[in-house]
Amino acid sequence: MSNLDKHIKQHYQSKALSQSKVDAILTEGNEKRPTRSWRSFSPLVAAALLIIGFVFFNNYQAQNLLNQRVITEIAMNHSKQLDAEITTSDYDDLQTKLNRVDFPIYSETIPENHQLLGGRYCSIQGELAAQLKLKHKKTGDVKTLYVTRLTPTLKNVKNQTITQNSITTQLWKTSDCLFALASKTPTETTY
Amino acid sequence: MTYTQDPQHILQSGYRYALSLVHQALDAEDLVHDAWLKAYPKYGTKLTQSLFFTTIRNVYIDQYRRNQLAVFEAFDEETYKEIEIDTKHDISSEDLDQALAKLNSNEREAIFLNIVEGYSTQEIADKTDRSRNTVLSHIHRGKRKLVHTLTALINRRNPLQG
Repeated sequence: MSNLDKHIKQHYQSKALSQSKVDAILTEGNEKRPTRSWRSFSPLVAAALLIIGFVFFNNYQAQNLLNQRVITEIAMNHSKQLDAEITTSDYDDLQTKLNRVDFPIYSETIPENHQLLGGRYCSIQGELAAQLKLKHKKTGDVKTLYVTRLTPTLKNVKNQTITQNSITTQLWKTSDCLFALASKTPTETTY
Repeated sequence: MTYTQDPQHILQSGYRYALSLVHQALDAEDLVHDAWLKAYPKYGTKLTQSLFFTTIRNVYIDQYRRNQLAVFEAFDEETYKEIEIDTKHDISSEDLDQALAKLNSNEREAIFLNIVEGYSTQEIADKTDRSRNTVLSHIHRGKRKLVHTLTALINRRNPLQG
């Protein structure tokens, strides 16, 4: 290092802020420094909310799509007006004759004032189902009741009544089964 | 609270760097103060001397030099030679202060970073977004000016030895 360099170095190294000035700057810096508040986590919170929102939206959409698929299938089946292959007015009798069905086709949740006319096999969303013909005792309207086992997928169906192409379909679930009642006119039953 | 580096040391070295830029003590204090209030809330205890120097430089450019950026021509490295002052007299701090005042901020900054902080010319070039030749030019011209001013001051005070 040259003589000039040494002088320059010494010159600058002799310069210093006063301790009071240092303290003042440090204090002001500390006051200005934001404490770790919720703002520090706001990007994480926003991301978490976004993910939760996305998951909920996806579930909601998936559930709506499932309901729509089930209702469309039931409305289509109902509009075919297929005859009952087994004619009976007794649920136990029908249960016995539909021997491939391993779930109860009768439930206390089935609307009153309806008389059983008979039934046949069918399917809902690829699952074996029973298709029951019911007649309203007062109006004479013939309705179709679908019963199937509540699979993990069908558990996501929500209770709902929807009218589509002049066919009103009412969906409801019991602990074991999914029920769907389709009729040309709105059903009188409420749940 | 654990700092990466001692904040007092960062402040003091920052002050000396600020002095190399603005030369005036009060201006350097203001510059360090402003830079600290900008850097500390951002980096906190992770603030290092290098980051603080960068902040000081940015604040300096913003506040003092926005419209006065000087453009220096590149400098041929081969023409750079060690410059030494030829005197038997000690250089006083006052003389050196006067001589440093005659340099422009680019020259003082380059000399400070090279001699006091020990950065290589390439490191200074990287830190200041200049070419290495330009940094060499600043150092060389600055030293030449210093020698010229210091020699004049010493000769004026000691005319018989001139």
